[in-house]
Amino acid sequence: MKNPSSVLILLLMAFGSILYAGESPDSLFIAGKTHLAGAVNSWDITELMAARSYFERLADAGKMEWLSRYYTGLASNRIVQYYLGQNDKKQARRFVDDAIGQLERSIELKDSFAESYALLSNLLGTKIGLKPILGMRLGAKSGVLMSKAMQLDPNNPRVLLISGQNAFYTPKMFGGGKNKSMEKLTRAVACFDTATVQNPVLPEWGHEEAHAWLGRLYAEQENFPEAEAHYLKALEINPGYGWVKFMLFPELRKKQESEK
Amino acid sequence: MNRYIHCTIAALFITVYAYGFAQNKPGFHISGSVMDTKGRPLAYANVFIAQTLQGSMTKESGEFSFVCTGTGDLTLICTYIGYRKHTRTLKSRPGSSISVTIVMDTQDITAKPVTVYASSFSAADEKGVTLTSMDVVRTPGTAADLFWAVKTLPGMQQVDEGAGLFVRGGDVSETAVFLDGALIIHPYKYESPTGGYFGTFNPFLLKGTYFSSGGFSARYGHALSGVLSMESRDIPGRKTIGIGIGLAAESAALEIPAKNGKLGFSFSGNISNTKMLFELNRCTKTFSRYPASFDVNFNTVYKPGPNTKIKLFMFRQDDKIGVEVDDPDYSTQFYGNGSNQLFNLQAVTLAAKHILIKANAAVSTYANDSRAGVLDITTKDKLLQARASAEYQPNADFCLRIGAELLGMRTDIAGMVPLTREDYDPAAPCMKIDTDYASDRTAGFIETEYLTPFGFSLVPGLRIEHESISGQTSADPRISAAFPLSGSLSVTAAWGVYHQPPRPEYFDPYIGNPGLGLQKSSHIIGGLAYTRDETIFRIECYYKKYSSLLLEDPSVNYTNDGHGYASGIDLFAKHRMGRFSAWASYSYLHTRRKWMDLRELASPYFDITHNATGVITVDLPRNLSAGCSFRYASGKPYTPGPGMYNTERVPPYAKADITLSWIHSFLGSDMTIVYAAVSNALNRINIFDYKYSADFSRRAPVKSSFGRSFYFGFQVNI
Repeated sequence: MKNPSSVLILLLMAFGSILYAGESPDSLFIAGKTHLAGAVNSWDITELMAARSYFERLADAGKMEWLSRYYTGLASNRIVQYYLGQNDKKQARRFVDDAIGQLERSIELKDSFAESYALLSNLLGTKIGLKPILGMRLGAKSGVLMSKAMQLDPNNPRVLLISGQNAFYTPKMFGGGKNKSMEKLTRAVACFDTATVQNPVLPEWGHEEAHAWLGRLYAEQENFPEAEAHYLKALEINPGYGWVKFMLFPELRKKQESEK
Repeated sequence: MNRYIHCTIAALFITVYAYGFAQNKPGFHISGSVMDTKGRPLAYANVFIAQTLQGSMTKESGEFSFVCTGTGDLTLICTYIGYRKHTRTLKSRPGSSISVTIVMDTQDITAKPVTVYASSFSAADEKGVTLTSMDVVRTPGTAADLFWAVKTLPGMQQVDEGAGLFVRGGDVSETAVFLDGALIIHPYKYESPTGGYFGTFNPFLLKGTYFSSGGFSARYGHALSGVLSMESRDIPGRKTIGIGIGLAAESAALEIPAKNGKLGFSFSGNISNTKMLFELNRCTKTFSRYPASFDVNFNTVYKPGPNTKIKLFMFRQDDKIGVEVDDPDYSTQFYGNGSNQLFNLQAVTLAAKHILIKANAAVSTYANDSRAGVLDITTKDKLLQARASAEYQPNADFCLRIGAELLGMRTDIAGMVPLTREDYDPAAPCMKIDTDYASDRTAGFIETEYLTPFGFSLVPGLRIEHESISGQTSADPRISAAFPLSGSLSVTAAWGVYHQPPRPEYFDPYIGNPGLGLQKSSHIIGGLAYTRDETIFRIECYYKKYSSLLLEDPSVNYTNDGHGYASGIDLFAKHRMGRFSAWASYSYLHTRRKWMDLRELASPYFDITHNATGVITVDLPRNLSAGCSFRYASGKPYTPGPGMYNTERVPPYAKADITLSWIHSFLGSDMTIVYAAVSNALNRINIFDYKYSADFSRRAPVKSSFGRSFYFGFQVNI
């Protein structure tokens, strides 16, 4: 093994044999992440479902099950948002429960990953939105999960993004409100700007989403220049980002024109 | 460097070759379709080979197709949210193809079947919610009591201001109450002949409630009219401390999950003292001892495996009361002391893939001292019970249940009782009693739930019971059916025979009759149910026939010569629209009985012709919530003179209640509920009965305890 070329050949042969077997764990997750990001951009339900199915198979195959479950839950969460946009509450309820189950399992397998707690907290909030009476039981639980996420990884940009989203929907008297949301989202954007990818299999989503949410808040405050700046930033990060491109930006333009 | 490039090219060649080899292997082509049990295609189902990524997702038509490269035995998996994971083994033959049809079953074998039972209301949180714990608390005028909330449902008669469940022309003793499968023979606090003032169990101890006002299944016995079945809570999701303080009660609760959600403990304690409540609200009654109670509960749930649950529920409650007796002939006080204990051990396990086993063993004890004038009696009941059932559900269309029960009841009664019932005059003639009774009951049932290919469901069953004192055995056939007319409209029907033994003391040779047999009723029910999203509407008609009822007899004390009937119509509507939620129920009842002291066919005291309840709740801004309710009931029958059995009626009953609650978080992590209620907002004094002097020349009205009254308090959960 003294010859470095033989080492390289062996390594590449090993890589080849992995390809023969069909899967490299890293490449599988990267492929799945790319698939899900594309589905979110196109906001196509078949693509979102396909991404969810892909991660479910990864989980069944035992490929880093905690992470596969996290991504399955994330994909189901996107499906929930899709169905809520379609006003199909029945389907939304089905996938909320699925996403909650996936994330609970993920936490059971790895209880130190902050993003699972944050996403689960967000999903409980969605479940309360679908059935307000559950707020009495799940509201406090959602808060506890978010506190746990912040405790584990206080500078995680996705945890801050979700925390900002939760604050957006939480009344001021329960520690939420628009100002709180803006404060958290601004911090999230700052953390996204300085974040570096340490492991390509881990989640990377959310940067453009944080700008979109901030833009939305500024638009609500009728601070249109700031809103536009954030929307443009979101599109700079992800030029195909459908939510900003086809919904938020046109809405902003309408508001700006009506102001004139 | 050159060498590195060559090596890299060589390695890439090998890699590409290897990959190409893998891709060019002749594959095994799998195609087919996925559907539900009704044959409807399921889109977006995930079909794949276990432990691989080889698979596909179904199209709108439910069809799928993919090629897999594995050889030998392969496990094909199909998942679809809300359905049970489907697995099957396939023999892979490279180069060949196979077509499979996958039928997905609904998720959980323990889930309740889709059958709509006639006359039943389920309050399990996840399905078909009609009445939840929060509904109980938020309904104005229910005093956060489950039994009072159940009384807002159709088919219930408003006989007095207590919690007694008088169901469709049946006496309060004809409704059986169960907790986690165990029969509760004394489910009321401050027990009285018409039930009691409140239910024993706090609604927050309960996970779900099933109530049936008739036509109930063969699983339930010991009741002629209705069933209330409660299920205690499972493992708590998180550690919670709860403290509640109100005008008449203080409570504390603690919930602790342990061992990663496999073990959970819940503890709660309540102290109730109504002195301040009665004094502040100027009560119409005179209490020598204000009603007070204490109860404590400890619940342990353990899940040793994913399919097994063991639950130990322990409960103790004590209450006492001293109140003036309304009677024109004499003046005396009634004193009551009650004590109730329950220990119930329940186990549920999925023994095989499709067989669910449930078993429970329970011990309950009850002691009551009652004193009023000449009456001075102590009653002690002890009930030992064991129950086991097996449920076989191979698919969503069929379920078979079979079960057996053993009950041993011991009753001790000692003291002085008046010779004439309810004549508590200190000078009235009386007799001494010191006796004990033992009654054993054995029962078995078999029942199936079957969803026919024509879309309607049938639940036929048979229940057999044997009672040891009478030596009688009854065989009760029962059947219920639901015919869906559309996705949201269905017709329901039920028929059944029911038997109930008299309480053991009625078999006493001196004050009862050892030759008594079982009492019997039969129910025929037909109805229409409409359920869609946030709207529920039901209408039901029923006819009940009673036979072998107890009838007082001058020579042998009691016989089984009593009989009667009850018929009526029940309506129920519930709708939620935005911030508003409303429900209304109405019951029309016509009943006659020859029973107990009614020597001819006449209205029993619970023959309340019209009962109506309307409830509206609204979620206001700033986390405020308000509700109001209105109840109306026809006047209760009373006997105005000798031989004139219940020929007159007291004025109609009417009551309006208002509640307001506010949810706030003072510390960020707590949930505080502050509430206030106005009961009997119209300040109407209702009359429930008249107590006559022995010669019927004078009478005293039995009135409601309060005019307009106020209640307030708060609950903090941390």
